Amino acid sequence: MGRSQTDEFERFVAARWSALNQLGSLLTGGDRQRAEDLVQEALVKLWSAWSRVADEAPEAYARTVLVRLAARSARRRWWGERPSEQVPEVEAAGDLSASVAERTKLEAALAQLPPRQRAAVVLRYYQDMSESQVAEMLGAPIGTVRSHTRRGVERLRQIFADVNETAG
Amino acid sequence: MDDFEQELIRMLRQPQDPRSFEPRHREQLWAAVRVRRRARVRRIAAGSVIAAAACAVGLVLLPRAVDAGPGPTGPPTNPAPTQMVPPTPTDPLPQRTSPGGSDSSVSGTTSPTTTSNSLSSGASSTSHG
Repeated sequence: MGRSQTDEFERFVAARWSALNQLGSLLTGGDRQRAEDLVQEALVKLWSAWSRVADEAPEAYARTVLVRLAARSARRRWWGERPSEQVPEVEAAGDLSASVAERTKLEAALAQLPPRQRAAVVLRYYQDMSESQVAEMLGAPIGTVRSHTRRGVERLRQIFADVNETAG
Repeated sequence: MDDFEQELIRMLRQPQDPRSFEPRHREQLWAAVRVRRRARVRRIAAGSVIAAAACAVGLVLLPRAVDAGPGPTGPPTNPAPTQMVPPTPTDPLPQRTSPGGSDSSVSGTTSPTTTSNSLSSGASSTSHG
């Protein structure tokens, strides 16, 4: 590929690096290193297809690859993920701001969801995608996506209720 | 959408510190691209070698298979010639019952396969009658 395509790709990566890493971080339940690895793998695949997708929707392509990689690698237990029983209590004091504490609590709660449920919840509520879009991205029927989303939200509701009860 | 779902959306979309694309990320990305490209080249080369080997084996085995000809249990290539069955009269010669029968009536009651016989017998019968 030519120099101009390389420059164009690097500009795209620099512009979308942060957003893709934030999505990856939510999809991995707050594991930033793993999120970075997955984003890099998605970008490598994007570069292979760059000549085809550069003029269309490169970010959508990268997001789809990232979501599928996250779901697949988690299914294989490649990363040895071990969700904890209890969401850690993070005190919003000292150098930690309240928003960071809340974020940590959210990521810890997300980490307790099965990968497919987590992906469905993140895509529906963070990416604001419709059920059919989520279904297409995950390669699953709409009914399955609806079920994953409902169960994921119920599980999160229960986790946060338990945390609030413990804190109270 | 209930209160919890609204709260979930707020938490998920809470602005985060932007992460910059650092030089180390750039180096790692291009290194990964090179690794993937090399792996792809190796995969294609391996596929080509396997295909060439398969063709070579096929070329070696094909002449042997042609030379060997059909096996003992193989079906015959040419069907055995059928023998011509001589035509047999389907109807027996009609018995002449009426003494005043003519040649035309005799030939009219015989089949086409027995024409010569009937003619000869008819001639003899007329000569004898």
